[in-house]
Amino acid sequence: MPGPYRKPLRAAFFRRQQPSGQQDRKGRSGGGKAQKMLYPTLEEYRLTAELKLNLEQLHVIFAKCCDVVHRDFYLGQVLKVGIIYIDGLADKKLVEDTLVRTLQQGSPQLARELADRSRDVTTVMEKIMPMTDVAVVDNMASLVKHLLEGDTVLLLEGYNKALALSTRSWEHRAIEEPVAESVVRGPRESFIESLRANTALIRRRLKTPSLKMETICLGRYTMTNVVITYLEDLVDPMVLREVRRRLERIQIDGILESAYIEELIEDNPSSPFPQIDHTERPDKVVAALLEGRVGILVDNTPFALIVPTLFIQFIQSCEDYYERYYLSSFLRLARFAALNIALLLPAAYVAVSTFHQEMLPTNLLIRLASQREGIPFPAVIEALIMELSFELLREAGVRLPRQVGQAVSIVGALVIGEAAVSAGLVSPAMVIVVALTGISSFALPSFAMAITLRLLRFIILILAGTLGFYGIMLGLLVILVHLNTLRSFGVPYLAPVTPWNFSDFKDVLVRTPRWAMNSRPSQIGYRDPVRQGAGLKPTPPASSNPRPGEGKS
Amino acid sequence: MISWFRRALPFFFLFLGTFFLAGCWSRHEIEDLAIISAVALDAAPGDRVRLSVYVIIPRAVAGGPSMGGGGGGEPARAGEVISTTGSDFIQAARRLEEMVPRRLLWSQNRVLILGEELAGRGLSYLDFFTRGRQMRLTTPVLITRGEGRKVLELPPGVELTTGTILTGILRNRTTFKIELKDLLVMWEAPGDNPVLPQVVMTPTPELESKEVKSGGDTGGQEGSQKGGEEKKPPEAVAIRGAGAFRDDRLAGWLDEEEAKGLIWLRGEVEEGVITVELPARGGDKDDGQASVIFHRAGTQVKPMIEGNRLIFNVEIGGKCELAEALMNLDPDRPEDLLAIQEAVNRAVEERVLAAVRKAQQELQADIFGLGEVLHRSKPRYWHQVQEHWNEEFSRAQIQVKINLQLTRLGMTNRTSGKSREAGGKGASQGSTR
Amino acid sequence: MREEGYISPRQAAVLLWFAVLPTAILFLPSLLALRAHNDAWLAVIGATLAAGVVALIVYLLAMRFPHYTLFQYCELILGPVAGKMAAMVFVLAFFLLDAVVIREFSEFMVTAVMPETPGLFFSITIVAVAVYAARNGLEVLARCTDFILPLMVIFIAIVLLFATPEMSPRNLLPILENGFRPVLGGTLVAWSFLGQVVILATYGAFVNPPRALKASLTSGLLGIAFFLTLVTMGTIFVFGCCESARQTFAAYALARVVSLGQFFERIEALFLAIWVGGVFIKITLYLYVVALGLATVTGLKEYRALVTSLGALSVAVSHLLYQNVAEIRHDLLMVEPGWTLVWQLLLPLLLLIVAWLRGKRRTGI
Repeated sequence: MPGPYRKPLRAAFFRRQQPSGQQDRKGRSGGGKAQKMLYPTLEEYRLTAELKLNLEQLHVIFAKCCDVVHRDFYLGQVLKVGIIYIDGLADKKLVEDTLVRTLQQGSPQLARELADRSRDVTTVMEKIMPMTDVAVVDNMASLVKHLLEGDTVLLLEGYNKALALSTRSWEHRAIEEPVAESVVRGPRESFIESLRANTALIRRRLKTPSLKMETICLGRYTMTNVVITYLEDLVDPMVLREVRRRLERIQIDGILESAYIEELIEDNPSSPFPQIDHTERPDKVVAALLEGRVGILVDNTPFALIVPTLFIQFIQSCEDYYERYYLSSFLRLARFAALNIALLLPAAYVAVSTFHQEMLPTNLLIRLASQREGIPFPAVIEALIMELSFELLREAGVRLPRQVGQAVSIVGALVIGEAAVSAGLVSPAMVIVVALTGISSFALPSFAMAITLRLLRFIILILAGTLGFYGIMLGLLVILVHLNTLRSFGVPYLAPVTPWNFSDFKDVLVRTPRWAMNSRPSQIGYRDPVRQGAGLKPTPPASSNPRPGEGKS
Repeated sequence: MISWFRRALPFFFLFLGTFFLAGCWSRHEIEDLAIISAVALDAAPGDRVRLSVYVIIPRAVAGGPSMGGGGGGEPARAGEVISTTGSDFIQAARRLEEMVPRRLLWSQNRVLILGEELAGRGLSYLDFFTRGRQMRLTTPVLITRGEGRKVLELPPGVELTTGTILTGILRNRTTFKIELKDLLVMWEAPGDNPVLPQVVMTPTPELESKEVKSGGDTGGQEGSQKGGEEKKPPEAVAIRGAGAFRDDRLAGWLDEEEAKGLIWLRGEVEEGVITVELPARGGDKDDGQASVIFHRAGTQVKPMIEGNRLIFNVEIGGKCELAEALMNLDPDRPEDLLAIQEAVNRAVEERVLAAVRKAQQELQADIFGLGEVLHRSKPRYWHQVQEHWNEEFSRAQIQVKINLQLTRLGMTNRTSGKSREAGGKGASQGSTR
Repeated sequence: MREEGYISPRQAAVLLWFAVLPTAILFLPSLLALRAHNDAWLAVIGATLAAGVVALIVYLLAMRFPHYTLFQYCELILGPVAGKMAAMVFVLAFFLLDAVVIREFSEFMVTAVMPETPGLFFSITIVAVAVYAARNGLEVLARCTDFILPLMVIFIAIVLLFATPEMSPRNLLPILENGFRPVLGGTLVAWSFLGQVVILATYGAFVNPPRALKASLTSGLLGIAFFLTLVTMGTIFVFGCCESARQTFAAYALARVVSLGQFFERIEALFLAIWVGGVFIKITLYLYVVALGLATVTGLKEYRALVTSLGALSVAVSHLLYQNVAEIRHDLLMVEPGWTLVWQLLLPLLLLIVAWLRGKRRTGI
């Protein structure tokens, strides 16, 4: 149920975001078929009825393209046709075994019939074509586009239209286990670089016609296909319209990763916080769709985007929903602790040890003081050095091949850490603090959020080193205000916490049992808030526990 | 975007600059601190005061990283006593800072020890320790005969520093504990006078037996201690007895028994032991002895006015547990238990009355906070006597009624030895002395 | 000038809580113990009743002019000239209050936490953050409170809970020892804080069902009274009335006697950090209200442009106002009760009476 004050707010938000409604209407009428023009536009080329002329034009267009395969032959030994496809993108076996053979062996009578100019090109399709996914192409630009997407184009003598046969099939990775988001229990499938495979992964999980997939083509050179997917009954139309609008305004030469799109459609581009979640797990995308969110799939990358995204999503892991809820809730709380430790621990250590020594018990204070005796740096500098070297170590480990990476971490942890302590350059307590911080930042399920925290940690550390707890609080207040200004596609970023919604708390600090998750997130899936029937909590069978008053099972 | 950067850049540098500027203000590295763990306040000749602090040397306590595998050896001194004089304590503290290469950290101070002479001058010197922002209001305050500095200079015992030793003893609840804020409250309340637990320096354990014999006689105790000091320096501290104040001046000393009576009357008893002598009875050949332990006792004071006389009815009740019995005890005979109970009640009453006598006759100061009790229950009457309360207190009658009950016997019932017959004519093995 | 969003009645109540409590909790217990001795908590209750009158006036005015701010209906009631002047008085009063709060904050920081750092530095930093927040509008601020409120409540609860071993409830007796006069004196002092609920007349215009203002006023006021009574009683339980009056920052002293188990010996630094959060909300709220009011009076469309300069001005004024913390106490004891009586009680009452006499109301919107 939407809050009483939410609607006017969002309306106001969109009004501010959209200076002209005209553009929006145009975008909507285009719908999913909004196709960007090819670049270069190829306006000077025309499809003619003369096969030879068409082929010559294509040879000009695809000059010096060694991967374009062209072959002429006769349909039923009568009608001359040309086949063009791109080697590697089109299924060569299919073209040779099925298409060419069928066409060559077609009866001459049919060929003669087809050669009659009065016939339409669709007749060809209907009479002889051995394939199902066939499009009629009437201009050179779209012909080229089909060709580049892996279709095989069939040009016929005497027709000024061509047939584009879907033979797309190229080498791609098999569907494997997700690398970045592996789980102990749960589906092991991950998105891959092929868009079609990815949509199929989603479709396989949502066998409903209300799963919609709109295609939009972005990037002048890359012509990347982007799919907006959503469940029509659940999605907030405002959000959907906004997604379309933001995608359509993208003018860019190329999209290589969904991160390109992410940065171009964020609400607040100057914020350090990730405002759009990404995942390589189809089950996570489907779960988001079921909550009423919109998924954005991008060709050639296994990472899908999910909008609108809330802050808490970066603390939820998909495994939370596959394990028992007690454990999940405990881990959720542990992750909140990790979030705070990753952000604040070095700063708190520096603040306590240089400003608020009275907070420590005497024994601990003495212990720390004796450890720090002779250390040449102030605590804040010491912390900065350690944090920086930790970041460097991590960076070195991440970029190197796996085997070398391990060696780096051994060198880093043992040699540098141990040597620095025994050389009296760094106090052992600081090493513990930095290590704990590092572990905590790894405990966050979202890498994007962990990166943000790593950056903010340095700022808070400097503040703590100069102003103690007051500095930490100032930093936290700025972050808090900033987080509160953030919105993701109109939805407040900190949503269930503020604006406060108690029923959404079922999935924030703890993960309530499946049978208690009766409603969709109120800010996102409010169109159909009821998620499941009430009273799903399993009970023992009636016979074993008979109750006098209850007649029904 | 570029314009955004251009606008933000000066602010960014301003921000950075401010913080590096600010860095010099309140930051103190942890190793640059002189951690004070105990403070003694004394009077110095010529109206001056002496401030002695016990500064911990972290290296010596924790063993720095360089001392990694250093083995046993005898415990070095964990810190150093530094003392200076000044016309007030902040001046003395500044003098300290001239002598110590580090910055004084007062907030870890465990204990404040008042010297006798300074206590005689008045409590107003404590202002430095309530006004300073590093000071803890929860610091326990103790008083000692002679100079407080001497207490700090004791060699380490079980704990490394004097402050830890004293707070450890206070935690055992053998006596009462006055924190700085309690002291202030007692001082400021019109119907109360401060009392502070007394820390005494004891000689070595062999000498202690002599000291105990001279127990009640305060003069003697002091004498023996001074004697001991000449021959052999004191080696341990104990907290027993109390120093009592009239308004803000030290008025006199309470010995151990009187101090116990005082805490009974103030209702601050949390746990304790009472040992009573029991006269010989039929079947026993010599006197028995029993000790009870009590955990929680309640004290209720009810003031009454009868004509011109002010009467305080003190009722002390609670439950205790038998801890040790050096006698023939058979719980099946209720009169045994009853006898112990009676004796305990009498002992407590004696202690309380001893404290009352001391306060009314010698000190003439209400160290029990009875004035505040009167204030709370009879505000009208209180306003009449408020101005001269201490004199009024000396004239007041204090009636004590003790009602402690022996309820538990511990893990065994009968005392050990050959079991007696039910008739009570068994062997007299009760006493194991 | 007008806020685009609305806030919920609950958020309005929480903001009200923050508009009064942060500084009140720090300064009031000591002042009340000075004036009303043992009966300081009675003074809080008395002042709550007085603030209830203000709340009633605010509510009646809001019912007459729903979705209008105080500054707007000043003009509607009194006409353009007198109305602008009255609105200007409110703007000035809120501005001064903001400056006083800033000064109280920096004075506390300098006295209790970091004596070596100049007070101006604390004022500048907190106001810089406040300006950033105030520019983002009321709704963002209201949402910030959702995080700071639990922190403050939990922390007050922890302090009071862990201070219980030090407490002796006998300190409260005898009740009404010297009659009602000291309590009345204390009520006047407490009133100058609790009367600040009048601020709801300004941002209350953005509460969505205006009728719900009744609930926010009641719950906000009761929340303030509850926590203030609790803390006042806590300090008197622990310190007794004489010592409470002697401690300049009695609630902070309360946090100083608390130790959490054996690990955190003193938690006052945490008290400080969380309290800074509360004061930040208070300063930001007043800054926002002042900017909004000034924009209304001068007829600007946007208040945002004013925030930065008003923030800078309030820092300057805050440091011109007082010499030292003793002057702040003197001001809070002697001056503020009268001044707040004028603008928090009499002026709104005048507005209500005039509106009633002239029959002004805008219920159409």
